[in-house]
Amino acid sequence: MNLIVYASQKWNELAALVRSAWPFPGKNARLRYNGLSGVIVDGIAGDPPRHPWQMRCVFEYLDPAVAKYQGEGEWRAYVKPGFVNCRDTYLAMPQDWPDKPARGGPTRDVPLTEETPPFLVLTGSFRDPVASQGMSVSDDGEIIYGAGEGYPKFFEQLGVRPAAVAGSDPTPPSDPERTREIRAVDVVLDQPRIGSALDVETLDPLTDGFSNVISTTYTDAVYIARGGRPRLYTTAKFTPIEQQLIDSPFLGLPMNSGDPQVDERKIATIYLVSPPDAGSEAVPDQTWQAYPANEVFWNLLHATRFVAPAKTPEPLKLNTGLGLGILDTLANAYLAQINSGFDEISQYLNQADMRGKFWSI
Amino acid sequence: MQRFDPPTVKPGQRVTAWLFEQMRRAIYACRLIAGENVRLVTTPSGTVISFINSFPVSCAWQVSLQGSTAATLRPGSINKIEATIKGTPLDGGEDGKPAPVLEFGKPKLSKEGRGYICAEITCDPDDDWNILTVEIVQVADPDTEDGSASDGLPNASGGSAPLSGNRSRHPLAMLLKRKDGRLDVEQFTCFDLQHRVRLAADQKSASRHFFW
Repeated sequence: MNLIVYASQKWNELAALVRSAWPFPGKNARLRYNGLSGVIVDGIAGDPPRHPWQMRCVFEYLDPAVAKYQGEGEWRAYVKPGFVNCRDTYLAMPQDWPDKPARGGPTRDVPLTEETPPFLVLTGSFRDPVASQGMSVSDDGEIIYGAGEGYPKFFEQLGVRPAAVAGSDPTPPSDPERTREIRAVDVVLDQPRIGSALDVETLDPLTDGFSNVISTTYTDAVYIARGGRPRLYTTAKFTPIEQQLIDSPFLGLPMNSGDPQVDERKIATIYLVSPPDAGSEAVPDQTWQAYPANEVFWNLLHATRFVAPAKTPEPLKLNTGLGLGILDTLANAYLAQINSGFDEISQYLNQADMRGKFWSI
Repeated sequence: MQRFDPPTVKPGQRVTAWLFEQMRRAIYACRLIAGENVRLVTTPSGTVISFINSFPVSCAWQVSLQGSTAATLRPGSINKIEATIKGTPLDGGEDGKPAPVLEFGKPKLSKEGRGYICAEITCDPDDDWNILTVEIVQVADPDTEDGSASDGLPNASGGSAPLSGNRSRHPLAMLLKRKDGRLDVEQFTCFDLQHRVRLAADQKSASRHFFW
């Protein structure tokens, strides 16, 4: 009988072919291995497209050498790059990052588009939206607690405990089904810009023709120091900054005596929800879940309300030479009051307002 | 559907060439072939099955790089004036020409490795600053006359700077040169645009151009 003998190489090729056919789950795929019955392949719904400023929040352990679920960690937010005036947005990261995961100390600006993406540290900045907001004392000497800030209705369905109510007892009606804690932190965009202020200078009316001069000064100190870079930062609760410091340095007129040289826009609020019965003092750890709530979904443009510096008015002066010039001097002293009044009104009405606006594109 | 069942043998039965061939056919018949929205990566140790995102993203002005020296854009307009590349509309035009390609060669980049694909408008100051043309260009800085990188800080007051010849540029996408030399693109503008000019104090020249 003739036996056909296959070379071992051929057999091994066949084995390699079979081995390479073994399926593994990749992106958006789920495989269920059923022994000799085969493998069930499921397609999972694809991720929706990510928008600028979209947050991905993760709890990360600080020391990779320590076993997971034991070491110290922090909540971080990674941000899908968003742009202002088509320029990079930056995060302040430790100077030696990413070579050394140093914390604290000097920082440097890292663009969101960096290949090793920078992140916002959320831990340490949380507020408690269900806690009572302050207290006051009534005329009767009774302590009145403020209501809690509250949270979007969505979290009621997740079983987050109700917010504090205003009154002498801030404890809300108990609900055994709602015992999860909630914390929140705001992410804010900060755009440096040119600032402006009004200055009052006292002059000699006899020689200068003015008794006072109000002038507008422009400063780009913050803009230059920051390199004009927009930056994201976290804060427990965003409160719009006072855009202009209103002062009354002259004759009780409310005037712009300086501004913060930045414009800000809240980008998102990140909520973290605890497991049930965590307790009101609980600190978010790896057992909590993050829910970013974006307010901005598109890239931004920003511009200041540029106001050209007003031309300083020429003072009214008399140069007649009468009375050896003494009459001119006296007349000019009187005119100085008129000149100053005109200048004050002119500068006051035209005082520069450099506050800017954001709009989406 | 033709199904190739692998042959079975009884105890003691010799594996003949015919049986072996049937087994080979059965294995080949089980090979995975990538269909729509599926990507297969075959490795010696197995095959990775991925389902490609079923939400394809496309928008006006969408920039697609062709290598690192050229790009194509999906159609976009400013004040309903269609953008062009060397005079050819981005969709090729009515006579069915292929979509034009922006050949920029070695990209103009800033020292930080950033460059821009911009819509450069030319306005007519005698016609209420209406737009005459929208041309796609690649620059290192949108606000410099020739598109080269600027030495100083970016435009501090916002808006787009006026350029000679009644021109101005709006960035559509950013080009990023990575450490390994690769060129990436980050889309900035995704919608058709509107434009207005803010006049300077002389009420004749432009002080800033605004797009939204």
